[in-house]
Amino acid sequence: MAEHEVELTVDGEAASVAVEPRTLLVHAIRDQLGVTAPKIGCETGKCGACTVTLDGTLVKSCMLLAVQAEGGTVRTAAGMADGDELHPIQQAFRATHGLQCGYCTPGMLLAAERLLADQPNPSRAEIRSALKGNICRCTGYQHIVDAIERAAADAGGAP
Amino acid sequence: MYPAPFAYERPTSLGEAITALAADDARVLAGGHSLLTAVKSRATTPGTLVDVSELPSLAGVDRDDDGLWIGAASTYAALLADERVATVVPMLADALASIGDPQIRNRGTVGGNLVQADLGADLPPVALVADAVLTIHDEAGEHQREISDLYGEEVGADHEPAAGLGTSALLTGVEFPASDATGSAYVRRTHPATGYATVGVAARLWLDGDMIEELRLGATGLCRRPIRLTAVESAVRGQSIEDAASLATAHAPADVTSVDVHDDPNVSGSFRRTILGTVTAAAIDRASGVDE
Amino acid sequence: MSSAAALERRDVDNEHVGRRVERREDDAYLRASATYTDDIRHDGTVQLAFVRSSHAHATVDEIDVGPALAIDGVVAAYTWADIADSPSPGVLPIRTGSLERNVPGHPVLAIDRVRYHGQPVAAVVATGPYIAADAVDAVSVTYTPKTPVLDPVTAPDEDAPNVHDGVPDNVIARTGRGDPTATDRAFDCADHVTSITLENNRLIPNALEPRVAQARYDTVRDRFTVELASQSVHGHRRKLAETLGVPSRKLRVIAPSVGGGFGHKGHHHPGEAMAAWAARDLGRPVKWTATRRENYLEGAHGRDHHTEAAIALAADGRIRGLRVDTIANVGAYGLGGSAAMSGWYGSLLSSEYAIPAIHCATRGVFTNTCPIHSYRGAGRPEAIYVTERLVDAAAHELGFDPVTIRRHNLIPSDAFPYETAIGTTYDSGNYEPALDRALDGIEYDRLREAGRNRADGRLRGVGVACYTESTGGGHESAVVRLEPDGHVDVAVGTHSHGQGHETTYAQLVADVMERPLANVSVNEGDTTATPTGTGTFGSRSAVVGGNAVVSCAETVLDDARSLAADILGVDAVTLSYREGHFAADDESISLADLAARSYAWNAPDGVEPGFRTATSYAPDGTAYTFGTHAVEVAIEPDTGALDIVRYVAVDDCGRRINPTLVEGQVHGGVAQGLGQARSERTVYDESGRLATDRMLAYALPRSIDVPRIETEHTVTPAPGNELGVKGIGEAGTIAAPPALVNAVVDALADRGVRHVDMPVTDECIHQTIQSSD
Ligand SMILES: Cc1cc2nc3c(=O)[nH]c(=O)nc-3n(C[C@H](O)[C@H](O)[C@H](O)COP(=O)(O)OP(=O)(O)OC[C@H]3O[C@@H](n4cnc5c(N)ncnc54)[C@H](O)[C@@H]3O)c2cc1C
Ligand code: FES
Ligand code: FES
Repeated sequence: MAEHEVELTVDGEAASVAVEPRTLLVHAIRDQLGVTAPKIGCETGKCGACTVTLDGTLVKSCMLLAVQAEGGTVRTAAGMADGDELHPIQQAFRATHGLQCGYCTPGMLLAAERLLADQPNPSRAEIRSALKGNICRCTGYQHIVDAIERAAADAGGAP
Repeated sequence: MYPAPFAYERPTSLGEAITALAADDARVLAGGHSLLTAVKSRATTPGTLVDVSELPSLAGVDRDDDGLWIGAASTYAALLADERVATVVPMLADALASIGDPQIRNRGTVGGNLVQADLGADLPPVALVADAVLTIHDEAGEHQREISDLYGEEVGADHEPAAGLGTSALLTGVEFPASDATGSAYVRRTHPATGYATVGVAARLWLDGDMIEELRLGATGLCRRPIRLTAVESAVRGQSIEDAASLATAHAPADVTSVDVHDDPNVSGSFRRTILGTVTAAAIDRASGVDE
Repeated sequence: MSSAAALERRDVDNEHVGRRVERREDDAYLRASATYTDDIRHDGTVQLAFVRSSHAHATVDEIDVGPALAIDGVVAAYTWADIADSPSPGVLPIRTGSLERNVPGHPVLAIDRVRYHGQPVAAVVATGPYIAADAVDAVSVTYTPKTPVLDPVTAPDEDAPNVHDGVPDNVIARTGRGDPTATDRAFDCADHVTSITLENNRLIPNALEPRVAQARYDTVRDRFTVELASQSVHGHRRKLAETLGVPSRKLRVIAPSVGGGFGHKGHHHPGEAMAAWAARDLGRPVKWTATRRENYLEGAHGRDHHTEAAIALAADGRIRGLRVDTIANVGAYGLGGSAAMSGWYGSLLSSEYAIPAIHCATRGVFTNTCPIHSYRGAGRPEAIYVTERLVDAAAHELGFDPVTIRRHNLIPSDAFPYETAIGTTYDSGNYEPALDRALDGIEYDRLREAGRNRADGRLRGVGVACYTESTGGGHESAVVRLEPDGHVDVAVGTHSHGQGHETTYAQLVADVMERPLANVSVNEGDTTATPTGTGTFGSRSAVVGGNAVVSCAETVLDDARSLAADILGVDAVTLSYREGHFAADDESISLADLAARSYAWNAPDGVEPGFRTATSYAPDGTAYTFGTHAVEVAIEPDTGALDIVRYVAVDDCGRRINPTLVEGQVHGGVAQGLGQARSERTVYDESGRLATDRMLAYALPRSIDVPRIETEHTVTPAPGNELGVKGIGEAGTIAAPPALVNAVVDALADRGVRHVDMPVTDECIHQTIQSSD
């Protein structure tokens, strides 16, 4: 099949990749652009390890074709920190031990960021609900929920 | 999972889309959250995917006295952000909010959901209860179809769309006619593995004081088609809202006696039948508290 | 190893140990810059993919790889014939020592016959994963199906087909533990016998990162480098060496960041072996990445025990004896773990109770299903589940409160070390305080008083489970040395895939050496850079690895002290040491200075550069973690919908190096335990095809499914290792299933319900209620 030239901005870097129509966005980002922040856990839209934002919306990058993202702006967890300074949500994850093996973490961080942007002061139930699309096999979720609660409090949305 | 090769087109006009879809092995691609799953597992191997997700004619929401028109490519998240949806069709907002997870709600579209109507999809029963009218374009032009005509008894494999639309037709919009009902709601139990509804019920209710004048119920999760729960509807008609729950649990089984209710490794058909009454009662209860 | 009494407790300063130190490894994970195996790029890499059996049991009549080879970009296609033509045995080794028969190992590609759905039949290699997938589709395989053996319980029957020709009853191993005569006698004299038939459901581990390997072969040096998602690089090196038929020294195995293990990355699979084999064949880097579906098909899976058990009691509730007869499904190939599991299984059957007579008979049984191996807990959850369910059932039958009967039978705290009737020696224990804490935590008395009927119409149940867990087996090696600037470099044979060793080992060493955490670095996961060790599984790393690094660090400090004494011209014992400085009177010398001198060309004789010290440590016996978990549930009788109202976990893992990480392990373990108890179900259809082969079909716990877990602890230091630590990695998977099932049965007790099998789904509860009404 003919290849398509796709323009993408990933974490602030503009790039152009030649992809087959069938290339999944996650593979274009990881294998062609070398940005390995989104992980692959299930390839079926269930686990959320491949979560990125595309033009500001939270999506699972295994559920899109790269050609569908043409001209889009992708943000991965690798783009969250400000240089040496971790993003406040990343800091909260570290402070509360919100990660173990780290494989779900890139997706969790972006889901958390999205949630707090929409709802600066979420309840624990709201946090759990916002993480429905992100599976973690290590933490039992509790320290992740703690992390997001803490990030919200740190940002001034005191509980 | 790696899809087999296919071609990709992104038409910029309705006409282009219809032309592209005329090819035998062309398929509409909207949110992709059902289609790409099947394409990735190679359960289906289309020749061309025609991406309509950004076609202007399939976008937007319009409200007038006749009701609410929703562009087929509207995502669940976009609709949830639009106050008119919850105001005009509360059960639709309930159903949209219960779909999958935030990421899925950002991509899945109303059109794809209704055409695909996966087992346990949340929107088809709502559309059925609302008597939604579909605007469809194909090579013959534009025409309207009642939602109730869309789903036949026969559906193909699990990954095939349940709607008998044909692959060269394009659903462009869905009209939810205005209703003078007292309230409506959608309630579901979530499947432990798929995250879809194990059973979900949409209810639209007309009350006169405590008396139920009219009730329309649609259920998902039992089989690929959404079904109306007519036995419960007629059992509660003219009865007090207080008795609705017990009537619903008593009569719901009658609505599925002739239905081949779906079994899967996690939930049996018989359990789906079992909880139908309870979920129906919960939907009626919620509808009685939500103004339409 | 010294005896327990002679062990000198190491009271490293509590500057870091015992504190909630933030994990140093997190920075890279949070920036998503940590490298997992699939993230690594080597130039010229080709992708390997498997053609997998679509049958559970069949002969393979013909494989046509021709159409695959015709695809542009396909580099090679292999079948068993190619392996047979090569110098490699190509069969994953199994430990036959504990087995009664020499059973065939798992061939990397099927030899004429397939024995489970998803077994690798052929392999293709292509320039990329998409083309490899096209090539897999293009290979055509002709099978003649055979009747599969699917039910492990009837597999030993005479008329059942055979999974392996040499094993006519499908029994791979038959073990008996404990004393059958004494157990018979106990049952003969008992006032009451409670029996139970139960199943410990088959699980699929589901680490979030699928299995993956990248292999390179250096033709000049005849050496392999294999990067893979592994829990034990040294273990993988040994096994890969056997499969490839090369000496271990020709292999370097590296495990970079690993996205969870839970047992199934602790053993050897066809993928990494085929990748290495093909890398040599092609002279190119070869990568193999399993899809999630392949992880489901080829697992390995865990659990799948089928048990008949009985407990004999005196009228006063004292347990007299326990008899257990278990069929353990091992799947189609006996991988080492299945046999090990029957060992770990029997060992724990006494749980926390003084049971005078126990006998356990286990049969490991072949079926035409995916091989079963160790999954988090590996035999221990299965054991505790049997005993804890039986104790509850006995209590209900005898009219005792389940807690009363437990308390009555607890091994008293002054009885340790305690040898159980099955022959294992519990090193230490103080069970009652943990039980009490759990009961207080869940407000047991209040709940009992409130009864089973809640005001909202739901049924209330409370479940309690006590447990013991054997932790810290085997030996572990560590090397500690100072770099010339005094920085401490630690290398260990274990591997961290979420456990946080980089932090915990550093905490230990930092305290011994009185250095800031930042001055300690920890290396794991590379056979070249770390001493030959055992790996991380079975809750062993803190116990064995932790003590190994501490013992090394102490020797390093001693050696540095000797040099300091030499230089300062004083007796070593008169030197004081504080925070990197040895001092005598008004003279002092820094560790960095000593380190630099140790590397100098004129360093005194006998001084190792950097005071490099290597140890192999084995604790004096197993450390037994224990505790009590308690759970409150509410059940909607009309639909069976279950709500976990509260969950309290009280665990005793001895000294806690980092309480936050301990809690993390408990949370994760409980979540997986509740997954087993509530939702995870592995289903093969009647033809033997795996029906739960996707994450959308296998019900993993989501954020909304796991309750808040309230953790508490008691501290009973382990006497058998100097740090007094015990493992905690698996406690949750052991305690949660019986606690939850006990709670559900308790809620339904008034309806005469005595047992429900896992997973206790809403449907299962509803059905149970229906059939009891
Ligand atoms: C993990 C996961 C969980 C999910 N959970 C839920 C859930 O809880 N509830 C729920 O309802 N759904 C759920 N879904 C499904 C999701 O909502 C899908 O988005 C939906 O089923 C299909 O919509 P789509 O826009 O993605 O359509 P696509 O996948 O793009 O298309 C689906 C089918 O419809 C056809 N089609 C699409 N648009 C049109 C059109 N305008 N005209 C004609 N034909 C068209 C396509 O050709 C295709 O055959 C889930 C999906 C995933 C992956
Ligand atoms: S890999 Fe995309 S959702 Fe799991
Ligand atoms: S930290 Fe391992 S999957 Fe979440």
